Amino acid sequence: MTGTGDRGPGASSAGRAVLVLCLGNDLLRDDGIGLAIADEIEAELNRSPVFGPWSQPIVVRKTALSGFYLLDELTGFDAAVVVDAVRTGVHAPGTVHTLPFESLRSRSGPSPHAAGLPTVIRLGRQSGVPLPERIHVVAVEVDDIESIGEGLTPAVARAIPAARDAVLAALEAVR
Amino acid sequence: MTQRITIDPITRLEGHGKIEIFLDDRGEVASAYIQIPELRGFERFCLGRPAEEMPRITERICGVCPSAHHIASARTLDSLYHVDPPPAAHKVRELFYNLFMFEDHTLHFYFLGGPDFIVGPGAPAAERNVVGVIGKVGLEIGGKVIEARKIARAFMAEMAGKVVHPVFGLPGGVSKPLKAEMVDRLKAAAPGLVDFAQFSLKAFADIVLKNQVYVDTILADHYAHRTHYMGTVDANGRVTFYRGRLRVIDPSGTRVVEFDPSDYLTYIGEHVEPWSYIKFPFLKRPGWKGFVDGPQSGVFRVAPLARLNVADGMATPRAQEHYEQMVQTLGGKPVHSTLATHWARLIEALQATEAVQVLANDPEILDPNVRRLPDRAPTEGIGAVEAPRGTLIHHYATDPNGLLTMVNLIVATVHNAAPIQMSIEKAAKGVIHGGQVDDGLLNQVEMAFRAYDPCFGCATHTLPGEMPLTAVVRRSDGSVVTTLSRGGA
Repeated sequence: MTGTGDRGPGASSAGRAVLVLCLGNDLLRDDGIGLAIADEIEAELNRSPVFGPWSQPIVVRKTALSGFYLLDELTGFDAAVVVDAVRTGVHAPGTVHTLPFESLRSRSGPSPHAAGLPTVIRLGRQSGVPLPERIHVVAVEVDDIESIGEGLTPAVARAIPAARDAVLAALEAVR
Repeated sequence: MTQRITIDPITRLEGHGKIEIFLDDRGEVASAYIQIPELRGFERFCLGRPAEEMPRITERICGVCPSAHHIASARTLDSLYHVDPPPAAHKVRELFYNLFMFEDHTLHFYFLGGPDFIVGPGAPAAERNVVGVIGKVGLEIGGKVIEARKIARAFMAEMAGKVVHPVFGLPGGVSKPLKAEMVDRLKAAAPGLVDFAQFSLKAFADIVLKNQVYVDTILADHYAHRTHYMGTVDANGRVTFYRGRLRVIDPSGTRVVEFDPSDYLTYIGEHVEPWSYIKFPFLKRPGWKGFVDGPQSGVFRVAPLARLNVADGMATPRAQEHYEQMVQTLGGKPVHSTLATHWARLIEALQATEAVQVLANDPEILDPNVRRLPDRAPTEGIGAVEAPRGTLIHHYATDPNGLLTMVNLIVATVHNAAPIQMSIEKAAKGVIHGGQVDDGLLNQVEMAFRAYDPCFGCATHTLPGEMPLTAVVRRSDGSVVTTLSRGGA
């Protein structure tokens, strides 16, 4: 994880923490959108009392990991919101998708080294790994994820406020 | 707002991850190629940046083994700034690195490579995964794997600031000494890590080695290549991961050369093929002779099996016992059976845990002198570590102000690029006959490259995150016989 922010009384309190897991690589242009959203969520949690009454703490994590390595980030939480970049090819860059995790298809890839998140979660659950029971996904349609460089393309950068709001709404959905 | 979308793997990997198999007129495999995704332009991105940022930049190119890049980069900065860290700094880095090797190798065995063996190469695709492993090893193993790795990773985070993206490696040492209280906890935890590594080897012995079909699979000729091998050895010629000299042996096991990593350009060249972005490293002596094995070919292999092949033995006693058993079982050194890499990986995981125990109990690990400040201008530096997947070399040059003017990284998957290519073709020739291809046969071809654990981590982040692989089987005239896709739509 590149950064962890804990909000609330801590994991030892009543109710386990809700995880906001933000994926991406900020050296690959728009692939860094998840990390940019994480910064916004942490700032929001620091200034807004909207989540104050919660009995569950919120943990924001940023990571560039992929595949089964994500199990380490996800274990031990009751619920999670996963934030990531996505390229469907049919939506404009900057489009914010919000969907229940079950909407993602789990595919059998050629190598578990390259397993996607749906496969990781499915196999992890079947393996007895304590993973969140409720997962929501917020994904932002990206444009450039091939160029090595920092900074988001304009359309994707403009999506940050909407994506932040989508994450906050998703937190309500999974709590 | 909730909407349902269909996400097809239209990612940066489109057009990559492709195996092409060409058949002759009799339906036998004439040749096969694999295209491996490569992150291009990273070196150029680094130019003009301060060299001391490299441990924190290079670790971000990889979603799988950032710790290896961080430590390789710190070692390179030592060289670049002409400064040798104090002994305690080396030991702190080495302790961190052994924790990393244990946790990475463990995840790989159970979740990534193990299913091929523990579940069985002929098992249905739906069972060749960690769930199948659990069916063989026991329901509790999934949680045990996560827990053992969690312990190791927690110590890594405590030592390095962050477990995924460590920030403690600096030119001339590390950013902070270890606390006695943490080391006491590590001393208490280390035996449990050793036990877990031994448990993994016992599971491998019970499930794989007692099944002759599996052993025959490991020893199958179509999974073997008689290549040169390269890996790092310590002053006693034993396997080491953090620092040492690079040793090369030929296919008969004879030592060809042993050199400091800073001399890598003297011994290693890079061959270019028009059909691949990847450069294929080879030994300048005997030189590039094509994608062929044998003593006259400069093709060499890295990774766990290569490390065990080049070394005189393991550096720790329990790992040494298993090393001797492996060599005896597989007919002596060097072991050319690619699939034995999985066994070698478990033996290395055990050595890593034993090394953690030794280092945690070394009084010098608590020495507060963990940094020697550079006092000379940076010029050029080369550093290397043994990453989980093989030798990792970083090479930087700077101007007098420490701004980068040249960056070259050779990662393990690139070192192994030519052997992976050869293994794919040989496996395809071994299992595909009469033009008949199905899912099970494709899996057996894929097993050849899974053993190397080629690293695509730097290229797979966007949802759903899976790397589509397409196997295209063509007739001699180029027309398509069949196309099989994994991870595709």
